Amino acid sequence: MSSPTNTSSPTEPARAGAAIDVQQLHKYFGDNEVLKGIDFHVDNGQVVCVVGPSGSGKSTLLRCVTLLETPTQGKIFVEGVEVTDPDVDIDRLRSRIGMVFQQFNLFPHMTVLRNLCVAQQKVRKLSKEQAVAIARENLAKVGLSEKEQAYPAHLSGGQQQRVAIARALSMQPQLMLFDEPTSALDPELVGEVLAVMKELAAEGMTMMVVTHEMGFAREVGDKLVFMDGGVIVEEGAPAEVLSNPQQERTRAFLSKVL
Amino acid sequence: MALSKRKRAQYIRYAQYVVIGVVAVAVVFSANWGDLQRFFLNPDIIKDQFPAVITTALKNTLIYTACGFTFGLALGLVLALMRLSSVGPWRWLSTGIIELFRGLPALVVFLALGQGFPRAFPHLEIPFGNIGTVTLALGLVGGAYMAETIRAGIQAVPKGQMEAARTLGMSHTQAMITVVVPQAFRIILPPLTNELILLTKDSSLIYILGLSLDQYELTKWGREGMNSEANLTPIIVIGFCYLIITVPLSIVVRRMEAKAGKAR
Repeated sequence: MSSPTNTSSPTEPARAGAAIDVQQLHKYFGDNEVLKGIDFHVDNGQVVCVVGPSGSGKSTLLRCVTLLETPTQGKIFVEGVEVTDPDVDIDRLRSRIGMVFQQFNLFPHMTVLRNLCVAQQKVRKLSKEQAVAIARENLAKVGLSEKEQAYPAHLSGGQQQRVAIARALSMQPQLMLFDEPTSALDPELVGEVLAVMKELAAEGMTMMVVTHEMGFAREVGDKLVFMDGGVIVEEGAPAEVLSNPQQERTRAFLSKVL
Repeated sequence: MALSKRKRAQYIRYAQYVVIGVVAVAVVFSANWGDLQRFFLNPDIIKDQFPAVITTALKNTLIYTACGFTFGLALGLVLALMRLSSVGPWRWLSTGIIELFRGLPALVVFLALGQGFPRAFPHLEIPFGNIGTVTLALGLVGGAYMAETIRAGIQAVPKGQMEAARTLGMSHTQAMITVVVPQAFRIILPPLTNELILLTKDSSLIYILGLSLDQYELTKWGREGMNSEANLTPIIVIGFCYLIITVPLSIVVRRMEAKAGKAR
């Protein structure tokens, strides 16, 4: 195989230095096995892009990491903490994992600023002043300082997604998960979101990105993972995988999207 | 007949105007206006109704309705959340309560609380007298209806909202309170207003509890007036009073809907 990193077996502890360590993950929806024994890891400071055809299980894998889907079998560690342990305080853990959705999922009944502050105050128990300060810092980072009093419905899709990124960053997470962050956007709005994500990667943020943006994966990614049919078919350095895929399925997929 | 489609639609519309006009004229000319006015809109009797019909009856209707609706809304929210709970017994209990109080005529609920409860538990008393009883009765009936509306509203909030709140670290309860329920209430504002209007009229059932003069609400007031004057004018007056409550309510809600529509 192209990857020398498939080291874990179900009984091993978390991989040292891994922000995310997934071991032998299986996920069923009813009788449908969507993840068929995934071994996968993201090291601290890495940007890992997961690509693959729709239905390949890439979004499910990402959603399992933050327990939006419950794994049927296998273990997941985040920052050395076992997510799949029934005793883990999932709310606490989630507050340290930033998540960005395809559909933005901003809270439509709150202003942009309130969107960024509400969880800081309710979950991290920060004072309003502290929360607002952090929120403004992150709004500035995504270039939307002037929109803090706007409601999400008054923003373009690209702006909404940038606000969603700022909202996730306001929890000061240790890693960020992106679930097809540009797939719901009009083509001309994709660039502004990717620019924010590039900046984030340049700052050293650990990122797992499910995406169809091969250009982003090549330019920013430290590792590219190609999934199909619930398994990881191939992984490696993005330039390597994109220009010289080893597996027939990878070649077939790339010839369609590139 | 070589009429174009548009011409024909036009003629049909004219024909409707003519029919409506003929009916209106027929009603106007066939009605006995003198008797009508004497029995329904007697100016002297109208004058006698004021200001007490407002300061006592209208005020009491508002108080009874507000108390019942507030309790009903709280109860409805609790029942809706129980209905959506992952704990079986909560779901069964709330389904039972909803079915019971939605199915029973409001009059029966009033009777059960006003007459049945004191006999069943002689040493217990519903606090605040008639107001307490009407709050409970209207609240139970309204809450049972509103529970289903609120549940539908909660389920109409996109799943991504709950997921976004949870991934920010909020607990299920926090996410419900700060994110899901406020959006649900925007969605169900129109049906909730309907419920409020229905409760306004149901509050008249309080008569079954036996009222002192200063506890009269609109319907009781109108009925007593009708009996003592042997004239229907008081009923017309209180009818207008109900409209004074319900029409502005509809207008306010239409405004709120327009505003909420903008924010969405």
